[in-house]
Amino acid sequence: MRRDVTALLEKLGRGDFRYRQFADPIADLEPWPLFAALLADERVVGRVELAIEPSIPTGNAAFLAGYAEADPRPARDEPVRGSLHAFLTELSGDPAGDR
Amino acid sequence: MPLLICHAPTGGVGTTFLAAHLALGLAARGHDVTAIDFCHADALKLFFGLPPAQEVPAMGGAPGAGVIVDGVELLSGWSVAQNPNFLRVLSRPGESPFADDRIVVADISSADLLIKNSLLPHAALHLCTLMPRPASLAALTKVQPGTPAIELDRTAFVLNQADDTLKLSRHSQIFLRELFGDNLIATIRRDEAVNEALASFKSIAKHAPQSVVLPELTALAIAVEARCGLSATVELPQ
Ligand SMILES: Nc1ncnc2c1ncn2[C@@H]1O[C@H](COP(=O)(O)OP(=O)(O)OP(=O)(O)O)[C@@H](O)[C@H]1O
Ligand SMILES: [Mg+2]
Repeated sequence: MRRDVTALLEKLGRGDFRYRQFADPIADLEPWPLFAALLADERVVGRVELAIEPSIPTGNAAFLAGYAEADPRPARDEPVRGSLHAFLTELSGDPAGDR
Repeated sequence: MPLLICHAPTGGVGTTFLAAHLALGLAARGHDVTAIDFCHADALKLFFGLPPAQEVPAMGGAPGAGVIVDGVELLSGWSVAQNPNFLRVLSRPGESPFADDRIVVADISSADLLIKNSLLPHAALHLCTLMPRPASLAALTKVQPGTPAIELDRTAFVLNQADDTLKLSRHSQIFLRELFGDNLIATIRRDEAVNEALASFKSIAKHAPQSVVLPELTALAIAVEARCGLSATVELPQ
């Protein structure tokens, strides 16, 4: 427990608080397939190519860029957007492995 | 004065809670505010500390006929919205059934897309509540069919029931902040005091004056005020 927290709890006269320190979320990140799927979804981000600019990401931007890198869509059979075929193709893909 | 509509693609996320507190927050900042409950459940009044038996007058009556709580006039819009004439009036561009000297905050059920889509063209802002839960986040695909969520310029997102002790909640917050930038206009934490206050027919400020959500709700009202170009008419701390 951090010293300032111990001191604060003593000052409050409360020994019954539970204390846990939560890690910096950015250091603690893991890819959630749901986030990757949303970042690949035109209904959320519009045309996918424009969704994430390739740059040198830091902090939170690195968090999102990680998703972009984690799931390159195979360029060779880029489905035609808006068609039922494209829709079904997307459905059959693993969102985590999708863009 | 603008119409602010509160609607989310999924239910149970806190839309009614935010609608009530947006109305209360704007009223506390000196605006004339009417809150209209367009939901069948009739739950908006609970967030004003009123009991289930409290009658809330229907909109369309005499001006000022609603129940007044903490400076907000509360009206029911549910039965009026079932009237085809009401929807017909809304479908005429530029014609609004709302008083133009007041801010109107409308609470709309997630399933009520007809009411939502009828009011949307008249709204200065659509406030979309999200929760750090998969079903709520997945519904970002359905906020406004035809327009990607990140391109919606009259929609602002609020993350409600955030909980920093939960990993998915922390990550959702980062994700949404990156995705929407300033369009994620507020984050409100989860605090059981919200429910306890409801069960006591009290405001959160009375029931739990130390609740973490109070300053966050004030920040939401200020953010909406700024976003809609409304200037506060009373100077308040914060
Ligand atoms: N920040 C919060 N902390 C704790 N509880 C909350 C918070 N926000 C909302 N709640 C609780 O969550 C429940 C759902 O809230 P609310 O009724 O506002 O959601 P809703 O999206 O309007 O739901 P519905 O789809 O039924 O209209 C309520 O019991 C409410 O008290
Ligand atoms: Mg509701």
